[in-house]
This record gives sequence, C-alpha cells and structure tokens, in this order.
Amino acid sequence: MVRIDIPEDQKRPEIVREAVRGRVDMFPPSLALDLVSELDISDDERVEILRGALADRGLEPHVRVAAVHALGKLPVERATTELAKAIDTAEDDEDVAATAASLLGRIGGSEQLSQLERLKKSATSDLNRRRVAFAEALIVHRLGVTKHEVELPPAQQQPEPEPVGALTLISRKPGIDRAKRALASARRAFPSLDTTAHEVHELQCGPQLLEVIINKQAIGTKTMRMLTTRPSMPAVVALTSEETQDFYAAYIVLTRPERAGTISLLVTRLDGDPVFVGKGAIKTNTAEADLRAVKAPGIPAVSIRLRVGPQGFEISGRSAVRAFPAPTPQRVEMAPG
Amino acid sequence: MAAISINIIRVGSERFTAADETEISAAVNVLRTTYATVGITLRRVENWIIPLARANGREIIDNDSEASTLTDEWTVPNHDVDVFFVKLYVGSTAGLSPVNGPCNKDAKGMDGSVVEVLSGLTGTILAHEVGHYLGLSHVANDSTNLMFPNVPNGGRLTSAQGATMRSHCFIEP
Repeated sequence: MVRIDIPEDQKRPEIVREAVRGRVDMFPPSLALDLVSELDISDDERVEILRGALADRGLEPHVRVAAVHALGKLPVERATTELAKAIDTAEDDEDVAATAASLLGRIGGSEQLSQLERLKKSATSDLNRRRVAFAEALIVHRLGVTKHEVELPPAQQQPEPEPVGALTLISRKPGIDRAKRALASARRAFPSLDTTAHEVHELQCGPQLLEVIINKQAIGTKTMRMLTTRPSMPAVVALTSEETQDFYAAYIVLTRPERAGTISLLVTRLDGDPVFVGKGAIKTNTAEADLRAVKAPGIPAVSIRLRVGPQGFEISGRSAVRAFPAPTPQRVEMAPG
Repeated sequence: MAAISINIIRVGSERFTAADETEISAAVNVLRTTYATVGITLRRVENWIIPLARANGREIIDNDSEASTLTDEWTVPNHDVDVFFVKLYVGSTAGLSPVNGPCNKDAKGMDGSVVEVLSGLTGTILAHEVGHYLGLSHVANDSTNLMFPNVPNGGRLTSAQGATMRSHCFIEP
C-alpha cells in the first residue's frame, strides 16, 4: 500500500477547492475531495464544496464519484441526508446515484427504501440496478425489516473441496487487541454497528487470517431464534491487510427465515457480490448451518459448518488451495511512444 | 542481467484518456530507470484492457477488499506481474499489492498489484507496488527510499533491496 502525502500547509479550504478542479500540482482532485472531511470548516461548508463538485460536469466521472464517497464521510445523519439528495440531483449520472445508494445501504434507515426502489426501477445499467438492489437488501437485513421484499443476488454453489490437500479451518477466540481492531474495522464499514453487541471469532485459512464479527444474539442459545423471524445481518467478516496487517471489513453475512425453523444464509462482498451460500436449522439450544463457496472467478471451493451448542459457537471447514479459474483481460497493442 | 516483465491492465478501459496513457507510459519509464539502479531490467510490457461492461464496477476501488478481489477475478496467463490500473482508489491510498506476491496467479489470495492513475505520481506508485510484489516491505524511516509508505518519495532502492527483488520467482535470467 502506498498513500499520497499532501503537505499540511496545503490542507486549507482555498487550496482544496482549487485542487478539486485539478489546478494544484501533485494534489489530485479525488484526494482533495477525500480531505474535505479533515478541513477545519463547518459541515455546511464541507457539503457546499462536495455539492459543487457533484454539480460540475466538467470534472471526470470518477472525481464526481469521489465526491459522493466524501459525502459518506460526514456524520451519519448528515451523510444520510446528503446521499439521499445526491440521488435526487444526480439526473442522468447513474454512477453517482448508484454510488450514493450503495453508501446509503450501509447507513440509511427504512425511510430510504422507497427512494431506492424508485432508483432501482429507473436504472438502465444492470450493474447499477444490482448495486441499488443490494443497498435496499442491506437496509432490510441490517434493520430486520419484515414487510419489504428484496432481491438478493443469485448464487450457484461450487462442489465441496476434495479432502486431500485442502486446508482445514477451526475457529478460536482472538486476543483482546485483535478483537478490538476487528470490531473497529466493522464499525468503519458500518458506522451504526453496535460493537458492544458483537463478539469476535477468528479463522486461520492458510496465510489468511479472518475475523468474524458476530452479533451475540445470533449465537445465543436463548436468542438465536430471532433469525427465524426476520431478515438479519448477523456478522461481518474482516480480512487482514497483507501490507499493514490491519483488518478491513470484506464480507457481510445475511440471513433470511425459511420454513419450519430453517434459515438461508448468503455471504457477500461489501458491494453485494456473493461469496458463500447455504442453509441452517435452528432448534432448541442448538443450531447448525452449512455454507459453500459460490462459482465465481478467483473464489476457491470452500465448505464451512457453523454450530451453536453447549460449547458455544464454532466454525469449521475446508478450503481448496486453488481458486475457480479467472478470465483473461483483452490483449491490446499500444502505439509506441 | 535479471529482468522482470509486467502486464499493464486498464480497468474500465473506455475511461482512460490520452493524458492517462501518457501518464502510464511515463510511469513505466520511472519503473524501468528505478529498477535499473539495482540491476533489474524491465524486459516486456504487455498491454491489456478490461472494458467497463466487464469490469463489474471495479474501475473505482472503494476499499482494500475490492482491490484484492480485482486481482483474484482476472489473471493474465503468463509469468509476468499483473498490474491493474484504476482511475480511482477511494481515499488517500493510491495502490495495493501483496508483499512477496505469488508466482502461481491461480492460487487464492491477492495475486497482482493495483495502481491508481494520478498525474505526476503514477511512476512512483507503480514502482513501489511492484516492489512489494517482488518481496519488499515498507521502509518507514527513509523518505528518500522508494518503499517509504508515502508518495512522493525519493524513489531510491538499496542494493540489499535489489538482492531481495532478484530472488523473487518472477525474475527472469
């Protein structure tokens, strides 16, 4: 990882405003927008700079998308309001609207669902329609909304990994420091997540360390039946950065009630792409669920079993070493010079 | 002389402007001259594209998880470092790479470098991230070194770092 270093004396509103328009050497517009949250100005002034960038059609599309991400860094209530406004004012800029919708999915409330529903219906690109649909699903699962139909991304399971040569996984409880850092990583992705209501379990899978930040209610023998009554987001999974060794939220676990004490589980990336899919059964004092990796480029065959019982919560499984084959980009010849 | 080859992959290729292409060409030259100081030649540069319709939104990288996913989802089947150029890496991060990246690009885990195209800075970011892939870690206390965690930096490599890079399995004789 490498970060861009902007000298402190350039982190001033008048310079940042110029940088947003690409007029400051070695100070990229996208970074200027990101730094708006660090300026010593009011939230109203921040919003004014960011709205200005969103409205400026002379800026490259990715710069306007960076402005949406910067709106997402405002305090949660203000960010929710501004992202909702960004959707309304995006007009034909579907990427801006879909980015705002994606961020709203992580922080918004049920009052956003009708706006997202309208945006989903008007989206012309399949990718943006999927992004908005997932934002809607995320709100429904985060808040346990029962009377709103959502569309989850389709997923096809891979077969179980061959036992020979596969890596085995068994969960354990991490130390206090790792648990704190894992909880903080989940909070960065979901600012309203109550870290005191969650506990951390970790899995070592080959060189990769995964931290599973799970809602205590979802694995409490007396409370886990709530999973059979409403959609839930019981866990966030964080991975370790290979460079910084810090954790970052990478996957979200979503559950939905099915018939007779059973649930369906879907594990997705933060953008909604499915990674694991499975089913579970919740009985008196015990619960079991099985998950398998989905068929998608770069994902290895993995089978995972989750158990809640008298011994507490445990995760075990097997992972293949090789991933599902990835496609090749398109080769091009570039003119010399 | 030891040599390295790279695949330049433009993610969301339609969004790359003529200025971006000039920036990428200049970046490749920065890598070439920087690595030459430690006896490593840039032998081959192959050009690849992922059009917007197939990029699945990864032309804009929101977080490290997405950068890692991008390198898992696409692979050029050769013995060169896959470098994915993107128009935006949200936040102050401008590139990501595994340290001592794998030579089996079908193995699970991050198996390429991700580099944001940023005017005047792309060369150092490219050389830094490929440096990670070839086994270099950060050098926290020397801002003249290429592996200082921030850019701009001095872009220098030591002979010991050169030796580390030359021992990577992607190095060609």
